Amino acid sequence: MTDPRDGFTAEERAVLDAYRVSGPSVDWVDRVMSAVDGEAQPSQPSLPPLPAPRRRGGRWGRPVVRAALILSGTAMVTAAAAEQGVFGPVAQRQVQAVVAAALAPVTRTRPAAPRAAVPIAVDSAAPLAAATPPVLPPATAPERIAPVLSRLQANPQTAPRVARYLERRAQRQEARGEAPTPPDLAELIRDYRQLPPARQKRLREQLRRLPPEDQAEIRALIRQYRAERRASARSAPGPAEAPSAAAEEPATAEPASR
Amino acid sequence: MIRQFVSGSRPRPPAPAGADEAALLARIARRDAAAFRTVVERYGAVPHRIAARLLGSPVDAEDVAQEALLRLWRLADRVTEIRSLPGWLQSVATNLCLDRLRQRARRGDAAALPEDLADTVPGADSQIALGQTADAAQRAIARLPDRQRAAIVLTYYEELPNATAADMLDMTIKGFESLLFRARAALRQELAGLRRDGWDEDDPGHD
Repeated sequence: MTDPRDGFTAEERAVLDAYRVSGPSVDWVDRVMSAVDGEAQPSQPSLPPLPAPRRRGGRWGRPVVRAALILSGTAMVTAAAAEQGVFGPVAQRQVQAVVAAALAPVTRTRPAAPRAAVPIAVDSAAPLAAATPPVLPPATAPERIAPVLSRLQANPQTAPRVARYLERRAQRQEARGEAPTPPDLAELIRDYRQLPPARQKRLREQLRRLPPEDQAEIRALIRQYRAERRASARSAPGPAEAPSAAAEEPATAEPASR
Repeated sequence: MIRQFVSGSRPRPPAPAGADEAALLARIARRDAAAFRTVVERYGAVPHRIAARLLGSPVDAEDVAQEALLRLWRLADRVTEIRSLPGWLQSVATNLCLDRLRQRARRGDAAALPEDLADTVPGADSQIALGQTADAAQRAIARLPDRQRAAIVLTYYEELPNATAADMLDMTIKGFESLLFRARAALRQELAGLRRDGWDEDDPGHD
């Protein structure tokens, strides 16, 4: 057997040996066990997915959905017009009341999304200004990010950058005429993706040098965000609703006994 | 590709599982969650380590390690056929990683989401001085083509014999040796390039 270290100089080996990876996070074992608990019929993993239930007339043909689409489309157009003040102040208020009332049954006709989401209390009597924009639950609740930011703000090495980031963010929001909001993960990702690759790489390196507890918390946030993205993708309508087993579980990964 | 780790189809029989390991597998075959937890605690680092080096992302590494172990659980009554649990986990993790890397390549997102998210948190320039050498190795390995990267990780870091690594990658020994030769050459070239540039000077424009 050849020595795996053959082919490299002592200096190269020193560099390669310096590349160590840390173990899984402390709660990883519990997560694996939770996944096991959630496994149904574990001895039959290769069963094909159940066929999607047949729908007469197709998904768009169902009367309830059609009615909901018409109603919500009307509501959106009306809301947009009302927001622009097309109907005048009095009509605007009346339209707001009608649309706010109309939106409530529409939301009830839609099945509840299976993904875990931050519940948002919807008050049908609230002013239209609050109800009109389709407010979606944030990908990751800002309150989960706040403690991490607080710790980074308390860290003298990271505090200046955090402060600068938050200040610039507030300035951008103010320039757009938006009310200040706490940062959420989806926004941070968008910001990150707009950075040049070299800057992205540098940030990746910086993360790996944060205190372990911050790294762990950030990774937990990442995990949550990814899970929500996956859940969102799975719950998306259309043919992707029932992915094939092959798509979910690449065949090459399973080392079947031969 | 698991033939080396499952009895009945093995060109080179590895050392059989120890009595303790065999007992754990037998208990897992009876759906004993406590035994599975022991395996997760004892061997979870094996697939995680491989995935972390192949994917370069701690989050993806945990996902892959979890998936590898869940496959063990799902195998149910076949787990007793596994002759080497760490070897089996290495094999599954490697192939799961290669699948993920292929998916990334198809999507064109080499900078995958996990690190993307991680990177959004502001950091500190002053902390960058540490670990530059390790980062250089990581960068050099990450620049290798997927299978070359796997060849390096399996042989250099996991210290597996070429024949075992070839089995994991479903290659002939000749093919694997050729792959490994190219991988070493490419890695040396990458390391030389990084050293020329200075380990930490890849981003001179950083503010």
